[in-house]
Amino acid sequence: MKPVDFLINEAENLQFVLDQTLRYDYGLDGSREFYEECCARLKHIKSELKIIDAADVEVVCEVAKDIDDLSELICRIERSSLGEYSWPFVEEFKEISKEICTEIRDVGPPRIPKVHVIAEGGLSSYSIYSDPNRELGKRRIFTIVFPRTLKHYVLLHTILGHEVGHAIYNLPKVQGKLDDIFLTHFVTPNKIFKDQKTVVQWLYSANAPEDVRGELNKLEIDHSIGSKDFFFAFASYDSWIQEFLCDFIGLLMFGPSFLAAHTDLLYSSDPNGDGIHDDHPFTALRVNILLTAAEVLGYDQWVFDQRIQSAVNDFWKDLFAKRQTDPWYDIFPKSSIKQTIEHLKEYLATFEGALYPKPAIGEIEKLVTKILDRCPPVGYQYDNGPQCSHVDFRQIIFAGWIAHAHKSTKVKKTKITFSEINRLCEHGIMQQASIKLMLNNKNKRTRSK
Amino acid sequence: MAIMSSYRPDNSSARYKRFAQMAYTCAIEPKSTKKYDNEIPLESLFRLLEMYRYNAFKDDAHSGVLALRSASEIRHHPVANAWHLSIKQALDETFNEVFEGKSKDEAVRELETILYLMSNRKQLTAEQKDQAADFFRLFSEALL
Repeated sequence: MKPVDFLINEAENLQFVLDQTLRYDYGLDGSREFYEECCARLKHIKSELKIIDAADVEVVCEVAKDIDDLSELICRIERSSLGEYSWPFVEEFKEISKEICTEIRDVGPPRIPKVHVIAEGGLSSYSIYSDPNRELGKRRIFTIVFPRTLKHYVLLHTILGHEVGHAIYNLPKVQGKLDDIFLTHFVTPNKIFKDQKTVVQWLYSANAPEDVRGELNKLEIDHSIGSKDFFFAFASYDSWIQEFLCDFIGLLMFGPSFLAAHTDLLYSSDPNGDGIHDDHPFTALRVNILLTAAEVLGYDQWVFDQRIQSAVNDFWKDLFAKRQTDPWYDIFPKSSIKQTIEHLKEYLATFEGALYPKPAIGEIEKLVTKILDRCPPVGYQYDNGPQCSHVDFRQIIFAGWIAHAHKSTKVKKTKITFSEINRLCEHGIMQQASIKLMLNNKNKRTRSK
Repeated sequence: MAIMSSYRPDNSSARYKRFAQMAYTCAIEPKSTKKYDNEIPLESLFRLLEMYRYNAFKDDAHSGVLALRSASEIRHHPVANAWHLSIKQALDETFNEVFEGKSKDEAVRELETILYLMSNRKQLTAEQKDQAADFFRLFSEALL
């Protein structure tokens, strides 16, 4: 078989798989729109195959890659029907991300992306993949990936705030604005991160921690990569910068809960925070920046009533204990972090629901009390009759973290495990969605009268 | 190890050249092209114009927040960020020639309107038709 004939056959196979798996509705969101989008992509591939010059090797390779990409996409969408992820969290997460992920163009209607969700093996699977701008398609598709083992761990899922940052960074208008803010206030004024050369000087400096020097030495011995080609042959400077940016976005979207999930998850595979990675800057550096950002936002100064204040104090004490004390990591001054945070906050505030709201007085206390009583934390109480109120799902999660820090959950008699707290919060999010529906319907009925 | 490599070098320039040629044909002979065949190429060109307008060419798929590849798991092809350089230069030259005297924002907006109309099978004015034909012909010629 000639290469083009093989590809024509593979395109037919793909059509068969597409019809078999996505033609009929399944899952929460239905698959019709995915089916139509995949059909459009496949139709384009088929029309390319009709006019392709078999001798044009570059185009043949390009179409082969398009077929591969579409095949992977269809199989991923198919797997999302397994539903092995926390759908109550996903539904709320989609709600707060909807506006920020919608592409507004000067010409034509807004472009709302299609989102599908899957579970994968391994902690490192946490991510949101967005179609690159170069991807062939009519409509952008986002894929949210959760680790299968953490299906119910809604407290940790706040890490996806970071991933929203990557997803929206693919939207050209947003990328232009975020670059403008981030380069002006965070990158360019920084003595070290202003360019690759100064980062390399810092990395290979004599006062770098011993473990860092050891890793750099290993890179040199095993792969012949040294200071001259660190950012050419191994790491990506642009990716490192983007990681800092996305950390800020995650913090602004999910508040203190993001910081707790971020530090727990990142240190789990890099306990000292000093590992050298190609796409990610040092964990210790990222954590130090985020802790300063949390201080700038005043999160650690929020005052709660005495039922939970000591748990809140312990929550922050644990977090600040994760600050890397070696001054080598303190390269971003507080003033620069403050300016960056303020500008990013101002920008994110233009998207409804994107910013983490400060909890109302007494809100967290009530939710934590419910968790300690082993009840799902929701805006409901019986006080001369049933009383329901709106609660943002991010406050339920924050309450979960505070309950986890509460001393009573550690003693044998009243012990509640981290896993149990997550399950309670997941149920709380699910029940709160029903309360929201009920309250919204009630408001509609009142207005129509 | 997989039986074949999934890595392929970036070929965006050649792809946009083909799409620009399609857009040129679509502008001068709209009846000769079927809507469906052109919809994705036209959308691709639209996205390219958006990247150009906001100077937002960072378009590589990133790895997940916890996918911390260390020095011992080195990749053989670091992320390349130069894919757009020749394309951006071709766009600069073509815009200067076809939309001479207009600001970048204004020129991109006019061309995006043309692409939107073409994609929705709407009639172009004579001026828009000339602009589209000139732009996409020159752009495809400027690309390698």
